[in-house]
Amino acid sequence: MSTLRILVPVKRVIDYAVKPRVNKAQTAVEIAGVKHSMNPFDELSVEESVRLREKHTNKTVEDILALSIGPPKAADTLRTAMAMGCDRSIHVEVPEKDDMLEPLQVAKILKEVVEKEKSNLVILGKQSIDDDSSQTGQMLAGLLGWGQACGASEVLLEGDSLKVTREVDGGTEVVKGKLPMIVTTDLRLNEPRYASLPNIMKAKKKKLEKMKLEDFQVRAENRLKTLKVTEPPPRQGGGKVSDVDGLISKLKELGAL
Amino acid sequence: MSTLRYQVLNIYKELLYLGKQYPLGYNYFRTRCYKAFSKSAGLTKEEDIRNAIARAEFVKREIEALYYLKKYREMKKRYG
Repeated sequence: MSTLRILVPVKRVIDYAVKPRVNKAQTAVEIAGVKHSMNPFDELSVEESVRLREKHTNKTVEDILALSIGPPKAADTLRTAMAMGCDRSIHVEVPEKDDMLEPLQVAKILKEVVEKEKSNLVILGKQSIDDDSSQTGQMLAGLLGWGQACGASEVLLEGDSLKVTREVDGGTEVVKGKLPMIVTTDLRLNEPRYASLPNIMKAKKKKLEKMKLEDFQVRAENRLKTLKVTEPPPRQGGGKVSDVDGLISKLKELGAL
Repeated sequence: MSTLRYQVLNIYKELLYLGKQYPLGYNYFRTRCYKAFSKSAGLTKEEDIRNAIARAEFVKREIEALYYLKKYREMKKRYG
């Protein structure tokens, strides 16, 4: 049985309960002074790696490393991850600006970290709730040449392979692959624990390593340019009709009859 | 007796920390939480105090479950 060194990348996103607003210049979503938290899908991946450790022994899961690429405040997100049970974390600091790194750049950074830290399992959220790209995991698998199981709803460790139940359209699919592997999480994988106050305090003692974008061989420029960001048009309210004749005339008016 | 006192303070702190995310606002939560604690402030028997702490722990778990469900339902609505 091989030992697992798990890498869990997490992203700091606008909190799910906050309604995002587009900025005045229509170039991006307003992020200043908005509540941020850990991406819900990343919470699932943190929880799953901690559960793998609890289910097996400490020897099986040697190390759980959380990683975040983001502005200085992303350190809070890493604290949350460590409060939930990660052992240590790396914070790749990038300046806070409107356009964030693209999935390919993130995947390239992750690849370098994986090679340096000798991780053999990467558990990512299937997508982040801010840009919804759902690409990073797949790109990382491609760059590393590893097997991937995306949208997992169950992860079982069997010797040195993983049996993953995936959520696909209209049902589930069971795939099995040898380590090293990439797993991305779907909503029904587990129930993430709450990062309680005492655990957050304890997490402050855990190691948080700071790195910079220059430490990696990636270019900071994005390949895509955001032209315009607009809010969806407001929903138009329905109307009431008094009787059947009214309904028919209304339908005729709309050309449905 | 003094350890019990710390237990009460700890659970109160934890609850207040949880309350910061309460859907109806921190103020709503804090006033009610304070009232609930001050109601049992006069307890002197050890057993009574332990029961009250157990109840606070229960409320804590309930609130955590509430937050989880709220998030899960929202995510399910968005991503299915």
